Amino acid sequence: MRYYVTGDDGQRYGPADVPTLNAWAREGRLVATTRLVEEGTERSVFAAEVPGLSFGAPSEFRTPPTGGPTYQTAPSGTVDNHLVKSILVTLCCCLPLGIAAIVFSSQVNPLVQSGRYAEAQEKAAQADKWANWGIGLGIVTNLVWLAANFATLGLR
Amino acid sequence: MPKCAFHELTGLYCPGCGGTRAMRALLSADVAGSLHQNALLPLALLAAATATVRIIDALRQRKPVSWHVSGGAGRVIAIVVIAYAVLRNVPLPLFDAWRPT
Repeated sequence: MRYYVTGDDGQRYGPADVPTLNAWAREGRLVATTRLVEEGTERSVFAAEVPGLSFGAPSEFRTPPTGGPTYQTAPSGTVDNHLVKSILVTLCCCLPLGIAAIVFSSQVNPLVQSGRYAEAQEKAAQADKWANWGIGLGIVTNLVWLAANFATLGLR
Repeated sequence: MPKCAFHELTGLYCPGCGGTRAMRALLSADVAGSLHQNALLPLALLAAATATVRIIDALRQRKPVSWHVSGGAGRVIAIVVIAYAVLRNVPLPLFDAWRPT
């Protein structure tokens, strides 16, 4: 099975087989949370989920690669926890959904730290979903509310 | 000002309740008054400033917007926001100062 990698520069690399991916991981171009796309099926997976791909020690303990060709910067290795959006939704927009978003969001970083990337990604997606519903519902509710207010009270 | 739908319909004070009054107090340099109306306004302003910078950055670099905050901030904020939401609705005189006026 071969995989595509999307770099920080937005360019798609590959398809690369597992030995090539392992070489990239050693060079720090790939981390466990990097998203890969399976060739053929176009299924999106975490690098950590690819059978046969291993990540050794954290980068600070790894010996830096010497010589060889230079590559583009490594794809980023964090899972976006959507905390900024969740806070804004809670305080400015739509309370109950915002609080749900903050709670999901707060679970993302600890999961990433313990290496449970798939669960982290799931919580992050939940946080994003609740925050986005909060924005939508908040806008609709407030527009209807304002319209009802102006209709009954007149523009003041 | 039109009243807040959430407060009018439920009678509850949400963690963002009093935010507009807190902003108004802050603009008149009344920090204590601002914190009384809504103690989480500084957090909201920080989030809004961060979002503004990140959105401009993302548009410039044609990348998706990052809403990420690293470290343990999420847990602390979740606890603080939920505690604030609950406590300012406890009908005891002790918490009157936590409700906007």
